[in-house]
This record gives sequence, structure tokens and C-alpha cells, in this order.
Amino acid sequence: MVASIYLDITSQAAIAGREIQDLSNQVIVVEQVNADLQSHLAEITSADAMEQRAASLGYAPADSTKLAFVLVPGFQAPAPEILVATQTLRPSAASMRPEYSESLISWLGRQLNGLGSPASGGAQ
Amino acid sequence: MRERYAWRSLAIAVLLAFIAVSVILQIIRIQTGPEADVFRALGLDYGRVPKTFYPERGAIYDRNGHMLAGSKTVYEVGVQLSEAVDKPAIAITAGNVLGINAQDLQGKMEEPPAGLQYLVLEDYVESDQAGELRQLQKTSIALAAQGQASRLRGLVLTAHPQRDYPEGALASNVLGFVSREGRGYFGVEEKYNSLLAGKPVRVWVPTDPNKAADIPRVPDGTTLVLTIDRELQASVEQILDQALEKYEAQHGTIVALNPKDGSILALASSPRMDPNQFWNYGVVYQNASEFDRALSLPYEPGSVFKVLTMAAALDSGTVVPSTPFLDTGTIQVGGATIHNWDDKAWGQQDMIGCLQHSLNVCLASVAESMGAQTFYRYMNRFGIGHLTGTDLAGEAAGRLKVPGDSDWYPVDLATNAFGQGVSVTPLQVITAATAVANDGRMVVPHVLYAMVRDGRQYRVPAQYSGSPVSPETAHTLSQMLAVSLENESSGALVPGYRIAGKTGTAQIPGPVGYEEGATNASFIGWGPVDDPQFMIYVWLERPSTSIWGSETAAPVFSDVAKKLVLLMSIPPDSVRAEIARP
Repeated sequence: MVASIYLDITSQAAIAGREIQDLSNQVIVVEQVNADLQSHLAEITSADAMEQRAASLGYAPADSTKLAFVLVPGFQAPAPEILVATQTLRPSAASMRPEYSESLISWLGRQLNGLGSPASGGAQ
Repeated sequence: MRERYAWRSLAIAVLLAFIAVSVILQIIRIQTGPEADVFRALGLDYGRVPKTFYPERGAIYDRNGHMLAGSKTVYEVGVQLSEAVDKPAIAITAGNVLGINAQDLQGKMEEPPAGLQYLVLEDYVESDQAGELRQLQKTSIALAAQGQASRLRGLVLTAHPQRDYPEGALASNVLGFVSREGRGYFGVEEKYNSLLAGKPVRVWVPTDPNKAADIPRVPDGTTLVLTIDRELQASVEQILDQALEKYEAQHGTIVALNPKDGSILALASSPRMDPNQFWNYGVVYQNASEFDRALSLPYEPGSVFKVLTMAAALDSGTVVPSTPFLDTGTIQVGGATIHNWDDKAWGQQDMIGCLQHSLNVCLASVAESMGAQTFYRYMNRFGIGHLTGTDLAGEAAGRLKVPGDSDWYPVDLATNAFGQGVSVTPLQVITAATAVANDGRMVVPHVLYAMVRDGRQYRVPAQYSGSPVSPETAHTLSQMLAVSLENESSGALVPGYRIAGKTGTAQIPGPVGYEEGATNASFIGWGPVDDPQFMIYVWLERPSTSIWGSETAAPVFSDVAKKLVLLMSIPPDSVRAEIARP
């Protein structure tokens, strides 16, 4: 019985490990795709590409003779503070649940302790 | 009978018990003996594998958030030799898609080096080619007969990041490039390599899933936001290229910065290379100092240096703007005769006239009156002969000979006064001149505007490198330079904006004296004079259509300034005056 319990826990841990590995690989792939998309976006909006697109649409570079300044009393253009789309904080992987790292004896001890203490949780 | 079997059973039981006890004792001895630690360490080694997590290199953006350097995915194409069942098929497929000779690939696979299990066919393969190979792999699997392996089995595609510069050669002199090993060379990539690259994390990963540890969080490299304005940079590069063609100059450099805080708005230098193809470095450049001439290639600047000489003379009280000077066309200093640029005598002048007509004789005389000690003290304050402290890799310090040096002669004081016999980089001159445009305070030129790390943006404050002259001197000299340009009807003038500036035409030293007919043409200027918001330095090397800075570098300055005031939304003087009116 002990052997079968141990085998069950070990197999669960192995499956969880494999799932973590798969998720890690997915994260890497998504990050790569994200970087590729950012790079592609930067390429199609590069200075050269935008200039060509503007020219094809009939726009021409402005010169000072074609500019008109309009005075707006009290207006002051705000300076941009955040210039780059910042990445969100990426937390460290959540700590492992004890089931995946504790020994059988520790698990038994925890279960026995749990029997002695009142049940937690429940509806409020 | 039974007793005899009982004895046998007992003997076997005793023997087994003895063996069991021996095993237990041996276990205890091994676990507690002197070799226990060795066995424990060996056990640990078998139970875990080392793994290094490399952070993604930080991106680089311009001041408006346009990406200048990022990452893209490329692929390593290789073959797991033990799994490859049809090597000719792999060779033909990979050869066709990657544009490599299939027979060469097959030869490599058929006769790999001894002990090699995995063979790299090609690295840094673009994602579209890798996608094509993947599709062919899928097709091959689908076509494989029931129970048989695919013909492309063993072909492995491994993705990894590569530095990407979406703007191509734009600002390449500022950015530098990253080698395949991930190391930055030149410019920002080298200077901030450790910040951009981040810190790799090496951990031991247990092979036992029961001991699975947390996956370490590897922070990405720091993202950098530069002070460079992409649109202005593109325009400045375009103007430089056109100027090189128009004036038939060999090379050129243009630097535009904000004299109030030292932020470099654009920096163009020729030649430029596409950092996506950094392996062409050796083809484009003969040596490292050519990568960014603005900060790595010192030269004799000529008359633009008179700005600093006059600043020192005014600040030390040697002269005032109205100090008279009778120009006879020559002056004797240290046994040598100094001439004006046109070998003519310009008669009675004041200090504004000396600057306006760029009289070498006048400035040499002023330097003599000032004295060598005072002159070189000011040059030292202006940072001549020292690094500016800019945050671009590869800066050169130039050379300013001073009294006491074995190769300094009294005539050097006179020639230094008009920018000959001294070698400086364009960045050094423009840095020194910021003191004149910025109320006497000299700024440190820089390209780093902010850093983004862990989702937070950190601004980089402006740095100042001393006050070589007083605010009064700075204002007076700015006015003198503005008046001299206006009197001259200089080609550097910008309609609607009051500009201060100075041309420079310098002879080029060769192995035996100065070269005949070859010059370096320069111009330094800033504006608007009452509230300087930009400062521009132009250097054209060996222009052929005209050797004079006033006819080559000055118009280039004007072109850049006209573009800059548009792109940086700097209104003309009249509009600003109207805004300032209460």
C-alpha cells in the first residue's frame, strides 16, 4: 500500500514537472513571437518606410515657409514621461506546493496534524 | 531427520542474518566514514544538471519611442546524425531552402568528425526559411509509409534570438553592433553592453521531479531610451550624404545637440554600415577610429577654435569686443611668421571684425597678449586634450601640447589660437562651445535619455563639466558671433532665427608639413541666440568644389538647422517674442 501511494505521488510529481517544462517552453515561444512582432512593427514603421509611404500618398516634407504658428494663451505642451511601452513586472514562478517536494513521512505527518486541527475555509 | 533440516535452516538463517548485518554495517560505515562526503557529492552530481538562463538583450529606442535595436528569432539548422535515416534527402532539402550546396552538406554528414553526434548545417537562418523547412518536415512525416520513419528525420531546428536593427544603417555610428557571441561593439552597444546584456543566471536543475525547484526569474537586459530623434537623425544623415556629394568631400560628420543639457539629438558620420550585417565591418572601415569620426578621430579644426580663444581672452580681461587691432597681414611669433588665411592685411579692426574675417594674425596676437599660461589654463578648462566623458564607446582625447612638453614651441601658442597644431574631435569642440551657449556652463554630451528596467523608467540627469567662463563672457561672445555672421551675410544664417557661429578652414598636416590644397572645412553654430536650443557642428573632410568652410560647411549647418527647428518645433524668434509678451 505504501509503495502504491509513493508511486502515485511520484508519478504526479513527474507529470507536474513535465507540465511546468511545457509551460516554460510556451513562455519562451510567446516571448520570441512577441519580440519578432515588435521587430516587424519597427521595420514597417521605420523612418525610411514611413517616408516612402508618405510620399506615395502625395505628402511632401514641410519647410519653414509653409508653417503657421498659432498662439494658444496658457497652453504648454506636456512632455512625455513614459516613452517606451514598459513590460509588466514578471513575478517569479509560484512556490511549489509541498506535495511536490516533501517526503512520504512528512506528508503523513502533515495529514495527521491536519486531522487534529479544525477545518479551514468554508462559506462565509 | 527434522532436527537435521532444522540445523540446516538455522545455519542458512544465521548466514543470511550475517550478510544482512554486514550490509547494514557497510551502509553505516560508508555513510559515516571519511569518504561519505565524496559519495554524497557524486550523488548530487548525478541528481542534477547545470543550466544557464540567458536574459534577453535590452532594446534601444529613440527619444520618441521608435525602436532602433531589438531582437528577432533566427534558427540553427542541424542534424542529429544517429537519427538521420536518409542523409541525401536532408542534404537536398536543406541545400535547396538555405541556398547551400547539397553535395557539400551530404559530404559533411557522411564523414563527420569522429565522435560527433550533432552537426550544425547552418546558423542564423531567417524564420521564413525555417518555416519552409518545418513545413517540408511535416509533409515528409505525412508521406512516410505506415510504420516507417520520415525521410527528414534527424533534421533539427533550434530557435534563438539575434540582434535586429529595424532601421538598417540609420544611426549605426551611434548604436554600434552586437556580434554573434552577444558582445556589443562601438557606440551604445559597447558602452552599455553589461546593462543591455543583463546577467545570466546559472542554476543546478534537479533531474528528480520530486526535487523540482522553482524556475529562476532571469530579468531581461535593461532597455535604453536614447536622446536621439529618429526623424532628425534620418534628415541629418541625408543632408550629410548630399553634402559629401555636392562638395565632393571624402568624409563628413554632423553633430546636433541641446547645449542646455548635452543631449545629442543627432549624430551622423560617414561611412555608415548596416549593423544587421556587421560582418561587413572590415570592408567598410579600415580602422576602429573611422566608425564614429565625431568622437574617435581627432583633427586640426582650424578657425572654429577661435571661439574658445576669444572666450578665454574676453573672460581673462585681455580684450573687450571693441578692443582695436591693426591687422598688417603678418605677425612674428617664436621665429615663425603667421599669415592670414588670404595672406592679406585687413587694416583697422575690432574683435568682432577679427572673428568676422577670421583673422589668424589678430587671434595669434590676442593669444600672445593673454600669455601661454592663461591661454592653456582656459583650454584645459574647456576640456581640450581630455575626454568629454560622453557615453559612446571609442572616444579619443586628441592632443594639446602645452609649455613644458618636449615638442611644444612658442609658435604653438599662436597657431593653437586659430586651431592649428592642436588635434581635437568634433565632440570636444562642441562640448567646449556649450559653455558659450549655456551661460558659461559646459555640459557632458550624452545619448542616454532613460533606462527601463523591471517595468520602471529611470531618467538620466544632465551632467555639467565645469564653468570655464562667466555668464557675461558667454553672452558677450554669443552676441559677437551673431553679429559677425550677420555682417558677413553668412551662408549659415537661418531665416527667422538669430544664429551665432564660426566657420573653420584648416590645413591638413602630412608627413612633411601641411598638404597643399587640401583642407578640413568646419562650422560650429547655435541658436536661437537669446535662448539656445540647438548647437550643430559640421566637419567636411577634403571638400573639392571649394576648400573654404564658409562655402561648404556653413550652408550644411543652415540646412541642418532649418530641418531641426521644424522637427523639434522651435518657433521663429518673432513668434517666441510674441509668446513671451505678457
